[in-house]
Amino acid sequence: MSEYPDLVEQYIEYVNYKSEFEKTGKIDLSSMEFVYATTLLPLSGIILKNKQTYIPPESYEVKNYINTVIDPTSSNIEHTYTPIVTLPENSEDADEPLKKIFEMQRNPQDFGGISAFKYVVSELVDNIYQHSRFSRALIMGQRYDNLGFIDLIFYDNGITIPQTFKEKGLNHEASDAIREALNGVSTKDNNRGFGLRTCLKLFTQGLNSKFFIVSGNGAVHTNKTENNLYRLTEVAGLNGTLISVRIPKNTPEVDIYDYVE
Amino acid sequence: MVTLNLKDRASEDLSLRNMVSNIFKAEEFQNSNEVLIDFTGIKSISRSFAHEYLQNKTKQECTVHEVNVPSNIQKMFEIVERTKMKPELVRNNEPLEIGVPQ
Repeated sequence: MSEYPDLVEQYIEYVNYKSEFEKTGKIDLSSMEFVYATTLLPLSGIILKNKQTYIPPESYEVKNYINTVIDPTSSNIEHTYTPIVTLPENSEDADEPLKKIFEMQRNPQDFGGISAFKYVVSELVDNIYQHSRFSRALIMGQRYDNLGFIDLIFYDNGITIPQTFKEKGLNHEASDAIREALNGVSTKDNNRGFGLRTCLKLFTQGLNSKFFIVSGNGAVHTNKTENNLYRLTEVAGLNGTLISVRIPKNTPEVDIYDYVE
Repeated sequence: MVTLNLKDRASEDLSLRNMVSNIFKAEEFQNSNEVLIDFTGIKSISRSFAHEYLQNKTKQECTVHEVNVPSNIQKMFEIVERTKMKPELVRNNEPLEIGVPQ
């Protein structure tokens, strides 16, 4: 049995591909038989930038899935996945992409209802615009009907949470900076910091979800009852921030005001 | 007195803090003593948007009132105005290592 929770394992799978790419210059997915969104979303940038050295999976289904999901022109919303949505660098242009993300909620019972879904997406996207100064920010949703859950993933390649803390003179260990941010410590103003915190509360307490966040060389995995902090080696660290949430299917609709504070 | 329709000026889903500064940059706020912001058709609001809105509102020289505010939106404004506490959600513990086998 693995020593890490599933979402952490799936991030480590990305790290293994990235590490191999850094050694060989090739992004070799030939033996890949299945890919989770937590692995694919951060990997998508490497695939798109290195098409010449990309060796696609031998499995036709996996190869086709990757091609469709990472294709920015794809708009196939009939399947179990929604192609990756890219956020524009200027937040004034974000309304259309946000609408596209909101369309991921097609079954009223997914994500605890439309109010909960709009709330967490709005807050997590706002966090990206407020803090990360990214050049690439991606969002993806994926239903796993047979496994009974939905994954929702946010990734940006901007300033990490530990770096944001450092810029404000707060020299926390990376995982501790993330823990502080999840608890509501804001580097901007003491009356802020509720966005990420209330999303975590709604996901874990309201929707009984697993929540995994990696930023720079730190990570935190948490659910309704326990949490783990992680220290990442240089090769395992992420140039940016990834939030991956695993939400059980058919979650009863929640009242966001039971969790927003 | 002038009325500004929020759905037309921003979106039916009030998501991002940066949307707020654009709303309050509108010329209505410079040229009028009183502005009514009409929330008709607004479906959702983030906590961050509500916080930014209230902060910007207090900085205006003109009087700003809200009309036709849906009850779910009103509730968010009330929460933002009263909240101050942040009890710990994620506990501190010794970090575990993640690396790549050599």
